[in-house]
Amino acid sequence: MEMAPHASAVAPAGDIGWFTAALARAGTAAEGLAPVVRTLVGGAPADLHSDDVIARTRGMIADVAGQLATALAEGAGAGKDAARHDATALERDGAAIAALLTANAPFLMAVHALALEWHVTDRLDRTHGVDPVLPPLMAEGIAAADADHAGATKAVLAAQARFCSAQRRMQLPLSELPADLFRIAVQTLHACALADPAADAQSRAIIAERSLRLRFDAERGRLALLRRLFERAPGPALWLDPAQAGTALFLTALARIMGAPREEAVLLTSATQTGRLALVLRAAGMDGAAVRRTLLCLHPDVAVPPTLDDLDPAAAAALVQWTPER
Amino acid sequence: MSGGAAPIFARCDADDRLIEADEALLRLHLASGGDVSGQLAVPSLLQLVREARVSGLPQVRSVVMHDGGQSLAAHAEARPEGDTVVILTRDWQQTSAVPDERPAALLHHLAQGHVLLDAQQNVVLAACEAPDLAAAATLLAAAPGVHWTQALGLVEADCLAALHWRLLDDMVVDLQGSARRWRVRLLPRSAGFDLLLLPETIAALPDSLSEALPADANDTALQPWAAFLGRDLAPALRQPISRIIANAETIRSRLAGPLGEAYGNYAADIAEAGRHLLGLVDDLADLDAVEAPGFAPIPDHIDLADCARRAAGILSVRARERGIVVVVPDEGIQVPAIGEFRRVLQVLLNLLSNAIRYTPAHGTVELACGIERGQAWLAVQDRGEGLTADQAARVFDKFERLGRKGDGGSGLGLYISRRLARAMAGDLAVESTPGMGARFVLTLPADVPAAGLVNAR
Repeated sequence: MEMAPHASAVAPAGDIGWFTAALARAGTAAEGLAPVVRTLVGGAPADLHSDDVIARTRGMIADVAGQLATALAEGAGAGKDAARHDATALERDGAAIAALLTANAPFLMAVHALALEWHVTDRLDRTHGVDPVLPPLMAEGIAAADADHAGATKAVLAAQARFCSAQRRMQLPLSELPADLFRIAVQTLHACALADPAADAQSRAIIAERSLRLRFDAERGRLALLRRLFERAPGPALWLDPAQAGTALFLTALARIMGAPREEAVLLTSATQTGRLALVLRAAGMDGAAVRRTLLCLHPDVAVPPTLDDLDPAAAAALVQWTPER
Repeated sequence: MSGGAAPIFARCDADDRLIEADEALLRLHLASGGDVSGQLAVPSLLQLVREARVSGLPQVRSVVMHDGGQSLAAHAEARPEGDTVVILTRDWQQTSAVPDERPAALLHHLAQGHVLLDAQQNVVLAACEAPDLAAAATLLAAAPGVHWTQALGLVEADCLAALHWRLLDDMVVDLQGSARRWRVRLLPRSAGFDLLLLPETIAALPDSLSEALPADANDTALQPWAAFLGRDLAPALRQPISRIIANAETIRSRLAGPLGEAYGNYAADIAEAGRHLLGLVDDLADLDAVEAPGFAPIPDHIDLADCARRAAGILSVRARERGIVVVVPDEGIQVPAIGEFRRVLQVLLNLLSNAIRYTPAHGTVELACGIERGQAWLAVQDRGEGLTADQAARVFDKFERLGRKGDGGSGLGLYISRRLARAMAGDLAVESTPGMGARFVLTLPADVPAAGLVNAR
């Protein structure tokens, strides 16, 4: 079991298990070194691992860990005010939980994708004046005559406003996690309790889980609302223009036409993935001009081959090796 | 400072408290908000000290330290020595402070309410985190497309709505349902504005207070004449009465020329009667204020022990005139509480002046305070006649004089004091045995995080 770094450093000497675990960790770190250094040194666009994205990822994981640690403290019967102020216990549990969450690849990549999404959102705001909360398409949506559609748009708008505030603070409320990530978070809570020598640790974790589940509703998170809005949208094609739709709608639409998790769609906004993004959009049936417009919006200096129109969507799909879901 | 100079030294104990320090480091520690012999307040050095303690090994690196206006870079070493950690810093250099590129980020961080406005400052959407903003959020949600000043029902909203946003930025408002005051910041976006609500007084209300204080339904219907006295008549009376007092004092002190002894005494009587009248007028104005529907003090972080010392200071002359000793809490004692400073002081002045009035000359009045079960308390103990159980039950009633006459009281002081205490989610009670003096106890919600800090010291 992965422990917080300072906890593992004090294991008794002669403990073979500890040494094998330490050797395994050292091996993994050394193995992955070359590609990491090559990327960092090689001058490739740094958007995927820029300081901002890394810090934001770390901040959000620490925030989730903090919320879980607070839930554990409340599970022990501490009142809200008191739980918040037993700083040492919170810090200890929080660090242990954060280490566990970071070790979980799906969780890490999902949080990283959110950091990347904010990075793109912020960039589009600065370069193209695309409002982070209220892009033109959303503004139209609120004013729509269809009351249901206007209502659904409003719900997305509120969720997006919360997302922006949270991102500015490098926070990630548990209520915004999709169901699978929430499950990972809860499992982490129990893993942390298992490592805790206190007698009531596991019952605390059970109480904490119950109260977290009571407050959790996967259908009210921003990503779920975006998905539902896309399903009822009058013109989903418009969503593939980030300057009109804004980053959040664009990414949801992109994930849907790819039939892939949203994390993969977010990855395509990186400067290293422009060719792939062009093919994906072409495979979805967009013409060359529209593809170029979308790419130029994300990367002002990108060159899209003028022959893109000659490429048949099916051929484009074959090139990226997937079948678009229509 | 040059590289060849002796290192600047400091030492922390096992709890990271600064127990020895050269002057430069001590000054930096104080400038960073630290207390003498409190926890080391320079974050980069504290981090280094903790790493040294956890690892048991010396830690060396360059650190950046901020001293309010400027940043200092230095080469720092932290070395564990027994229970303590020694800090040695060399090569202090000024570095250019990193300019804050986007102060908006800080505002977004501090805001507890966020309202999206369109380009005409009309409400699009509101997202409020603080529980006491719930009422304001409801108002905003009910009024999409309405100018935010009107949606929030601000005073003179019609005039405000016509103003340029820069004139509305940074204004301080009272919001329905919240005991706190709020600062409004408007940040332009590409397609409108972000309106941020930042708490003006206290960052977070304790849970017990975060529900909007319920309006007191009973007793709010003022008798018309009382409302008239408090709201309309009191301000009009204050000025002429003040002039009567001032002129009577001038005559008494014979500033305008010699005067017979008897006339001087008459003037003193006039001044004294005038003061009583002024006190009555003030009480009536207070009565009107505390009984008005929606009356809510503005909570802030206060120190009850400090309030007690100030109240004793203000009334020290009156106590000395009667030869009464007022015992106050020691300077080192702190009792963090949540309340409005001005109102708490008003309550204490009322309790203390009563105590001084009813304690026999050359007696003692004692002020004590502390924290118990999440409540901060302050007790005023006098050595007067004390109260019977029956009197104690009536003493907080409106216009209750307990049969006393002719001492200038209005019978409103304790009534108002208790109303104020309760409006601040506290209480005012009395314990008394006849002949043993009375003990009035003011309780307020304790300031939990601050109390934790105090106890840790």
